[in-house]
Amino acid sequence: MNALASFAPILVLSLGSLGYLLGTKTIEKLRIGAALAAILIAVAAWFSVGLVESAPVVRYGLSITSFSKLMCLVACCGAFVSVIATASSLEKEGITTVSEYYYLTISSLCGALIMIFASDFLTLFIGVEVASLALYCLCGARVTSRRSSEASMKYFLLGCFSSACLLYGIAAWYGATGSLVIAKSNALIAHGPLMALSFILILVGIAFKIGLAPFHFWVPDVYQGSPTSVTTFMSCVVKVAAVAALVKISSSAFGYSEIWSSGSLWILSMVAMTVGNLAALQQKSVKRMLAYSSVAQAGYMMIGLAVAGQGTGSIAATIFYLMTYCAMTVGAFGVLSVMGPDVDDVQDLRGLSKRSPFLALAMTLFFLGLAGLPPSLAGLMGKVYLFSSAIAAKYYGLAIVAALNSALACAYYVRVPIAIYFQPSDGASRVTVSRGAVLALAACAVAVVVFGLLPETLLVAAREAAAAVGRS
Amino acid sequence: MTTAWPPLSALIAIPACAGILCLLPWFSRERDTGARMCKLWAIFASGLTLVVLLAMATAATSQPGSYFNIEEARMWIPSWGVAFHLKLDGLSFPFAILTTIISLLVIAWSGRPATAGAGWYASVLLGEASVLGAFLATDLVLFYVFYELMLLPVLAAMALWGGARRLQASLKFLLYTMVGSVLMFVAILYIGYRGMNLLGHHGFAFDISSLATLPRLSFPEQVALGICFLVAFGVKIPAFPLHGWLADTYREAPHGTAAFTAALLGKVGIYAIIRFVWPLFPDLMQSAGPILAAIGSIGIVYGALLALTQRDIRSLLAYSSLSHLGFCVLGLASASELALTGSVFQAVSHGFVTAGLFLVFGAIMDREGATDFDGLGGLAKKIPVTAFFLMVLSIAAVALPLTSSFVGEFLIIMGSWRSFPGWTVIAMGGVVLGAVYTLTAYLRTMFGPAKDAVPLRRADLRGGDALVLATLVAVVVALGVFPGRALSVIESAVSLQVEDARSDGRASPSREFLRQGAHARSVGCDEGRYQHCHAVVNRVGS
Repeated sequence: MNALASFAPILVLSLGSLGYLLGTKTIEKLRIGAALAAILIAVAAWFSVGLVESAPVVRYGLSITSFSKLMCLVACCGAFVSVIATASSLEKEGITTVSEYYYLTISSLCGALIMIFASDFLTLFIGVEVASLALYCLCGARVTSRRSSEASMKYFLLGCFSSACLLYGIAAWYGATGSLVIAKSNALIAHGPLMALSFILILVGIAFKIGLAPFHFWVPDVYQGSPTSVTTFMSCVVKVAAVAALVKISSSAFGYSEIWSSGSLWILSMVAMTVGNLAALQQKSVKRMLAYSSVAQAGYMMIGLAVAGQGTGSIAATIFYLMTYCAMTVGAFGVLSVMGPDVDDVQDLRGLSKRSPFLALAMTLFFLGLAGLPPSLAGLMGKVYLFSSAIAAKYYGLAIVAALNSALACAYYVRVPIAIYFQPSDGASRVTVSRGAVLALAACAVAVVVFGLLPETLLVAAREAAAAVGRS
Repeated sequence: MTTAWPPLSALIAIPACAGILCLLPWFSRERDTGARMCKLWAIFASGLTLVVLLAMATAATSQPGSYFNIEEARMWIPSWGVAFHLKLDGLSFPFAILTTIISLLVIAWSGRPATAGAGWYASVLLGEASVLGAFLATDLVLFYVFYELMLLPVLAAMALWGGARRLQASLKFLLYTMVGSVLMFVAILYIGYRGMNLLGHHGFAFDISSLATLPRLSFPEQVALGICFLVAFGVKIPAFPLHGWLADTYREAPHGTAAFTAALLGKVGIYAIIRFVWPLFPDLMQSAGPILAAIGSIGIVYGALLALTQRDIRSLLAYSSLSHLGFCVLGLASASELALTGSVFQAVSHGFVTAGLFLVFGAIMDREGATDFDGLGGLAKKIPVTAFFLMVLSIAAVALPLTSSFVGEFLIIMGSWRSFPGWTVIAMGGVVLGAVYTLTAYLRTMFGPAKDAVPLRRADLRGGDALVLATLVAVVVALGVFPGRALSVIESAVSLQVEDARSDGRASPSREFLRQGAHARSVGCDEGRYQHCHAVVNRVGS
């Protein structure tokens, strides 16, 4: 394989995104712009699948392993579905600058892929910045809405802060080890306070991006204020990239540091899930509820990372959960996006079963999946995997708190299906759904059920990926 | 093992597929036109399930001397060692037959909620499928999936077509059961992980048939994990201090759903304690026996006392359920085969009786437009057919001889007497109270001054509904008069579940035997092994 090939997905996206800047009239048309974005993402995904090699490759700051390939595929699938599902809602949101919108979307995805493939901290940082800068602008894409501008500003300021943390941590790492490569070989070199400082700063920087409590304050405002189409994209792609980065870091020297191997990260996990769920309980807005739920879900995902030091294959559980979570969150935000920008309160979903039976069924499946209830078995299976890996690592307290949290979470997740099916609407009209959105959302809904009914393929993929990270 | 065609999963697949088909009219704009077709279709599907179940049982027991056991096993998630393993034996058969009959009757009953269309039949059919799944599954994860799944159709029916406070009631029901069951979920994972370590294969071990071959859990483990299981099932049954959801649920649910819930959902808890808790936590169950007996007996008396003070009809039925199920809990407390068999028998009998009571009182309430006893009176002359069926069902609820409840409660009292004489005496006090409130309820409804203006003999039971109640009454009486065959089937299966506990810490014959065969562990068990086990049990028993 030549050198170019390992860059292929990133190259496709970054070159393709330039096409939007040509500014021709054709590309300004919504359908063509969206179709082009979907094609670009599909080609990138196809290239990422095509990066098959017997041995993992690390060069030019990128590492092509089965882990990064899988994460790249997940991010591309999430982006693909969210672009198709939300294309028709751009008009409703009042976003007229189609070419810029998709330019930023593709750039952001490109940054996320750089984060996923990065093999050294500098590349990782570049990825973080590329992904974030594009998203700061996207969040403010509804130029007429004050909320959207506020979200953009808030995300930008807090994002800068987290980037600064990350960069400072990277500098400390370089000072301690004399290298920027994310690897465990230099673990032997340094154990001093500089390493600890570096680890904490990098962890904080990444935790900001994932939206882990107590670094989650931007999440509800940004998720709510941004155009829903952007939230759909962000909730999946950013989370995948940031969790992938954290998994990678866990395989570096940090993974063997005292903080990690003593498993004190479980506190972070527990705080995130509890804070997220308690806050979500009090929300009236569906978007804010989903935002806090994403904090809690990130907490669940942290279980696998927190107990990774015990060597029980828990990283695979995190990867599996991440995949199932993406299908659910893209679906849930996708439904909201299709319903238009005025839908915010849970009450706005009342009577959806009559207004659009398809959206009602899909939304119910996504929320049951997030709650971990059948028939959306994907959520339940993800929890089986995470909780059992916590038990295998003998973190019984963590497993029990997580289980109680998932019972608590049911209390707010079911409010949405209840509103959809059991509360009459006050005369709102039928919701029209474009054909692309139907296909995209149906794909998510099928995934949420099938990932749970027949999880074996995904489990094997997750285990292979985890093995490639070297922390299986 | 008897392999049969159709496979056991047909029992789940038939109602599930039929239920999903019934959902289709939901998506069309005109929902009500399909409802009548759906009723016929649902009757056909649930009747077919019943026929298939009976055919399987007949085929399995036709050869003399063979142990009644049909299994179906295939790998579901190989990475975790989760199996799709179903088992129909003397323990699950009574519950399966209860489920199929009750579902058929609830579907055939004309009292569909006024606003419900085809979705009503879908909810009953999907409920039937998931409850059957819970009764048949032997893999703990599979069981857990069905256990959670069976809530949804019931909750949906309740939240769609229930009373004024239906949403609060269904949310309360959901939260009670969720909090109860998530801890069991963690306990299941722990057990699976331990099984993986002990069996030394790559996946977890969740299948009860292989878990039963492992050495016992240590006592502290049994206490910690067993309590998680018992709390989950205690909420479901419900047992005494965990019954907070009970009255609200039964008051707000549509009559058919209340009958379905009261007759079936709680029985899963009783079944699961015998199927899973006794074999997994024998030491805990032995030492916690007095506590369980206390919970059962207190539940009997407490439920009866509450029932005495109720003016609302469905609250009375709810608390009388609590009281009658207290007997089942008492029966589960000791390793006595007599008491356990009685417990299963009582659970099934209570299912039939209470479903009947909910349906009859539902019909009366719909006719009179009243929900409490103050609005009723003097109905015996106006609706004599209803009065007759209510009479028989009340007699059965009081557990007079020649009804199935008598057999169940008698066996439980006989079996528990030796272990817990004090609590058994208290339980017998509950029987007397039960007679008082049941017969008072009958008197207040059927005799005394009439309080309604509905003309004579109108709106009495129609042909189809009378047939439904006649079937229930026939089953209750038949089980009461000829309990012998049913009891022997139940007893042989139940004794397998507790013989390990009865062996008092010594390695029990069947566990020892199963352990020998564990190297060649397969998900199912072969015929020879089971016949051997059965022979061993007979030897131990005699």
